[in-house]
Amino acid sequence: MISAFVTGAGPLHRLPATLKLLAFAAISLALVLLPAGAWSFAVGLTVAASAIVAAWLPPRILLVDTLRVLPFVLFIAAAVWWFQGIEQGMTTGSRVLAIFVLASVLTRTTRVEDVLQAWPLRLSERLGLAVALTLTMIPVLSDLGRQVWLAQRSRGLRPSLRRWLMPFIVLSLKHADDVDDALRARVRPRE
Amino acid sequence: MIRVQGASVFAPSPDGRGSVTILDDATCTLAARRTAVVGENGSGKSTLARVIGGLIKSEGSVDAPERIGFLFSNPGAQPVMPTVQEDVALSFRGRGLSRAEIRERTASALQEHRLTDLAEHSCHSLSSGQQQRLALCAILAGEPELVIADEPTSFLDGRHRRIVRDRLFADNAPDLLLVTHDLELASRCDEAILVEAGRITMQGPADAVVATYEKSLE
Repeated sequence: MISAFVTGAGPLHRLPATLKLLAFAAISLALVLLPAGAWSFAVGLTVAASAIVAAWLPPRILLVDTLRVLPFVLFIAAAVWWFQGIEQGMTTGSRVLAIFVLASVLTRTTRVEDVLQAWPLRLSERLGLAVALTLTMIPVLSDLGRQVWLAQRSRGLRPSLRRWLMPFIVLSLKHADDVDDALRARVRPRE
Repeated sequence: MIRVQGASVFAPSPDGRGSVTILDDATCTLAARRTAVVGENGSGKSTLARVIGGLIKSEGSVDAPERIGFLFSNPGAQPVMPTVQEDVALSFRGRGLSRAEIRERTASALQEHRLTDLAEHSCHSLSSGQQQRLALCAILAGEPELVIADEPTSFLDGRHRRIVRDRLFADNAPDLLLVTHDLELASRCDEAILVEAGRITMQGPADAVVATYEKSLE
């Protein structure tokens, strides 16, 4: 399922898309710049929780979005933990989770149409489309990951990161190809 | 008018050694308003359509209208934006229209295709029939000179098949290149070509080509 705008009357729905995009970029940057540690871990989780509350939407919608990205977050956190230790792994995990949640809140409270018209995206159609597609792609990828996991479970296979990763990458690349075809299938001058 | 001259497409062979020919030196001139492309599965008819539509590159040359819309057989592969309204609005972007004009034209296109009630729905929550109507709406919104439809009714129930068919064959519809296994639909075209094993083996009035193809299936 692609994360879609949900009609609502909360404060985030009323904010201009430009402001939301800038806030998204600024908070994401701030999260990345925070030094690793228990404090940063707590900040990441607080940002994620605050974004869910501020969205003013039925909690189930954003919780489902969050649960879908959780396998990714855990995978990234585990990989960083493996290479750089537990402190860095947990901080990275909470940062990525917070950014995923912020992206989800942004797409749920902002029409893509408004994102495309926001400054500075309205200055370049290609840039705007790229950002819109990226925002759209996040929940799509999480859904693909879930599909692979379910398909393997339905065949009685034990969960395994190694077994899950390859079909997930193949499906993701196939999806990227499909999106490319779908975009070119629209009426555009021949290349 | 579509002119295809010596178009060939190759793909790596399954064993990884060498290549297999998908489309073999296809040459044709299509001047009819509606042309059907018929042939068995794997014959290369979809590849020919994609070559004409500019979705895949080939050897040889293709001279086709500037504005082409492509309709896939799998309607789920067509939407790009999250909601129905946003997906149709995308077709109006890049044409120098103001935001208000885009909104107005999107609403009008949705109404024309009876999709207004679904405007706020997620594209991927729609049925196959609704998705194909959306895909057709989004493509026609781009005002194409030619629509290439690759088995556009194969995923649809009877009602949606009729709706899509009627749109494609409407008097005011753009020119049509229709890849289909539905021989009744192919017969409604003015002209048809038969593709066999990557080669165009016959071109002529749709009835005659369809009759020859049907005979070859017996």
